Amino acid sequence: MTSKKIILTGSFGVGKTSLFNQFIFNKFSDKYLTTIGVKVNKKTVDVGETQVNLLVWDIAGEVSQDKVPTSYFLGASGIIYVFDLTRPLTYKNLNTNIDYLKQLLPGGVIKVVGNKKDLLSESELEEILGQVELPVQFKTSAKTGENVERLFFDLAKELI
Amino acid sequence: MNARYNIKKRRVPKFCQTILFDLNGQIIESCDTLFSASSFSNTSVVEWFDLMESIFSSILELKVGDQEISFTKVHAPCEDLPGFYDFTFSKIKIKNSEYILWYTYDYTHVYQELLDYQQKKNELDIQRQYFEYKNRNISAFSEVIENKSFFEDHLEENLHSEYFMIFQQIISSNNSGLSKLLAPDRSDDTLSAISKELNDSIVKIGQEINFFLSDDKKEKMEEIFQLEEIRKQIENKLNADAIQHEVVYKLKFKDSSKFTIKQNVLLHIIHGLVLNSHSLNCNKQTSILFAIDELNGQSFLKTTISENTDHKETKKLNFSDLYFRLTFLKTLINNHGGNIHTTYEEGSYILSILVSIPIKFLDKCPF
Repeated sequence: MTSKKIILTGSFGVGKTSLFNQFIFNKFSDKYLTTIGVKVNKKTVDVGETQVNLLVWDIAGEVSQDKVPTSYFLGASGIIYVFDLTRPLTYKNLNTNIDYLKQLLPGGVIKVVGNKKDLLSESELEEILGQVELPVQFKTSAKTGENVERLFFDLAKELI
Repeated sequence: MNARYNIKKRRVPKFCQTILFDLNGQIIESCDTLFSASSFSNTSVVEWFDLMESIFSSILELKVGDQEISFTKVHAPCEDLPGFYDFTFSKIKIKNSEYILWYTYDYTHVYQELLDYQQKKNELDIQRQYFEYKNRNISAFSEVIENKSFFEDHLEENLHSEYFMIFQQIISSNNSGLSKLLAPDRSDDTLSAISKELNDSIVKIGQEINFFLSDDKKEKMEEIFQLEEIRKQIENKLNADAIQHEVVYKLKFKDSSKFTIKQNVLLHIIHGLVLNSHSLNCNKQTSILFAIDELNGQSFLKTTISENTDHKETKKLNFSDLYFRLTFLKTLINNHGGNIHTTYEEGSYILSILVSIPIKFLDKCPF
């Protein structure tokens, strides 16, 4: 079995912990609970015949990624950058933040994820995605679980 | 200095545990202040916590004399450690062998306070951002509402013709709308009956319109404000309307308590009601009165829009505007726990539309 460290990062209140809880425990709560620092948990994903142990770091949200302690990224293989599809400020500086993360983790896999899809209609989603600076690889809903498993599975697949 | 800084400057650990382990992760020594690491002596530290598993290889890459690696605010690294901890790791040399020196600091008391502070701050920021976003959407939605073909299409598709007919009967059976209906040559009995019928119709259509107003169109956010604070906004809006429609307004504010309410919803309702009166007739006087009311321990913001009917001239009724606006407003108000109904005081020839929306006073507000 191979182990991979994954970082969940992005602005505050975008649903990182909800994605974390949905993926690890299959649980969701509507109540917003701030994360400070970091919480780590793991889950094994089967990619074909390979078992991948995903060590997921759910870290405190920061609008600007250069405020996240760099030690958190040590040994990471992948980053999931989450933004809130309903709050433009959470994807306003997407390019800058992704560039910073690329420098911090050269060669690492970075996924851009728009969360809270359940709050939008298809037309609203389309309009918002047109405003995002970078391609959004996954549109997720931690609430309904839509695309959550797929996000982590695809990431695990790309990391092995 | 901000609150966050004040919390951090009191940052003194409650407990500290020192652990020494070799490069295979086998424990050499522990003071066991926080947890009994000695009892794990047969297992590698890698297996202790998920966090250790994910950082172990990075720790091994440290060189003797390198600056220690710190992981701050680690939340609940294992069942025995439910709080918040800082971990630091450094490589040391003892008798030609290299070891890892691991300090665990218990900062639960400090970080819990920081968490509480951060929770409130983030909630407010999210609320503000969400409000701005929703406000933009409501404005966009208002533009759609002004598009008549939009509601005509939707009404035909979504509403039963029975309700359509009821409303049409009330509004246009006497040809020229409410002002004509309320003209002095009408008897008090007729006017009272119209008022009652109007209320009944609003209720029925309000129920129907819920079917095509999706949840994401229902504004949820609140903003703290005083009536006086939005007085100017309302006045500006009404003045513009008044000039356009040649209608005279009187605004009365009876309360200046600070409370929370869905501000844009309130503005939307007022604007809608005023536009509604334009749809019916012109050259009349409309007064708007705001007051705080209490019923069964719940506070309400009462908005009363009264219009006199002593003018004979009426303009051609724009049925779609009136119909959709009233039903939309009814739904909007109900969705926020409020009520709308019309009253007619016998002999007065004044029709009043009364809107009550629940409010929370600031001292009861969580923020």
